[in-house]
Amino acid sequence: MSEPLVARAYQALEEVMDPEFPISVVSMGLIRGLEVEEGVAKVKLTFTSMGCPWTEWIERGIKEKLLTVAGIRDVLLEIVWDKPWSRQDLVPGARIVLKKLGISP
Amino acid sequence: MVSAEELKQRLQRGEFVERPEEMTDEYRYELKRMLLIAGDTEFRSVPMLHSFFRVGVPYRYVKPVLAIGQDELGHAHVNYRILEDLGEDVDALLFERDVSDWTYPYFFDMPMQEWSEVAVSEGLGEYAGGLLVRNVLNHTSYAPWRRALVKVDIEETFHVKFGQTLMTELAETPEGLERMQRTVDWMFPLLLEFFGPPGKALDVQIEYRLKGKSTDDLRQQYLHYAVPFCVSLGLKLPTHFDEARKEYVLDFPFPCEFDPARKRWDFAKPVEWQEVFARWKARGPMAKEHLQQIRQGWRSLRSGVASRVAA
Repeated sequence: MSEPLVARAYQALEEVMDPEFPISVVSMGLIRGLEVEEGVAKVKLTFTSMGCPWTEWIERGIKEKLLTVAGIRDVLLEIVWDKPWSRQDLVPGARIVLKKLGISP
Repeated sequence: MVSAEELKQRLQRGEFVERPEEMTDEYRYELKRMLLIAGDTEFRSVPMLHSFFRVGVPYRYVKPVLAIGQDELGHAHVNYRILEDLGEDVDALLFERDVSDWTYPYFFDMPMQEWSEVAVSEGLGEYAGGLLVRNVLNHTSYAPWRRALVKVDIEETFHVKFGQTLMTELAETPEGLERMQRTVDWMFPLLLEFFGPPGKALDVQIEYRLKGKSTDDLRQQYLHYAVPFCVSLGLKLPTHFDEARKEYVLDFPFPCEFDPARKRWDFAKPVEWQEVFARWKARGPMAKEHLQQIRQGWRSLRSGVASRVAA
């Protein structure tokens, strides 16, 4: 497994924004794991709730973005719910953004 | 009370109004008028969204359509809530107002009868609504309104992306593209009406910095989005970019005659804006049914609450 490749993949995911907030899927805490084996990115992904309406958009955004990273030729997504997403998963910067939007972080 | 001239000068320097005591009567009147239009526009988009389910929404899009409806209700609440703070009785506005006194674009009174209409109403209609929101958010001198619209803007932006996805999917087959072209043919001029009649030389709402851009500026901004996007999908719009004037020019008389029952425009019959205002005032095909839905929901909610309290 190539460490720099994983780092580049994370960097790419910083550009995939949550559909509802100007916060990346990484800063939202939706990425629960990421590894790359023989060009296949394996992503463990969660959502803020099971009723999230935008799961398809988030999945599509992640796949499309990772496929632009040199060295990644395929993407496998695994949706995980254990443990459920909570506000604790937000990075500190994301809380500031939410507060500015009038949403209690 | 501050004079109109003094207030206008202060606001043009970039100052904000925070409290009702800082307003002139004229400022308060225009602010309330804009809030009512904004609230009505958000609120009356919801019955139209609801009607998408009569057309049939693919399972994977059920949650997004419901979420958009919920967002729009939230946006309506933002505007109505400020009206309430300014002394208006919002329950009366929502549930007792006559159908002809509502102030939302005629577009929301049109029946949605096929999926291409759902797609275009989201892909092109949401953008028009978003421009109206941003015209207030980026410019308005009424600080409470500006603060409340930040989240509204972000959500509207995503609704457009949703619509773009639907339109892009439809454009993948010749049949889908043809259906979408038929839809665009009737929807496009109606969406241009979102921005109202051509601007007056002196616009008091701009002088008070309640909004920033004129109706004509907004229409141009809209065309700069809609035309390239539609062309990229293979759709034709009756407008072209005039290099000399550096703006889009419509290839049909605006306004002209519209037959809502047949969803057809007659480009050979220009009309005066007064006739358009009369059509708006009379409201469109679905207006009464949608209002009835809203009132019925309110009545059943109230009777439900009343019976629980009695028990």
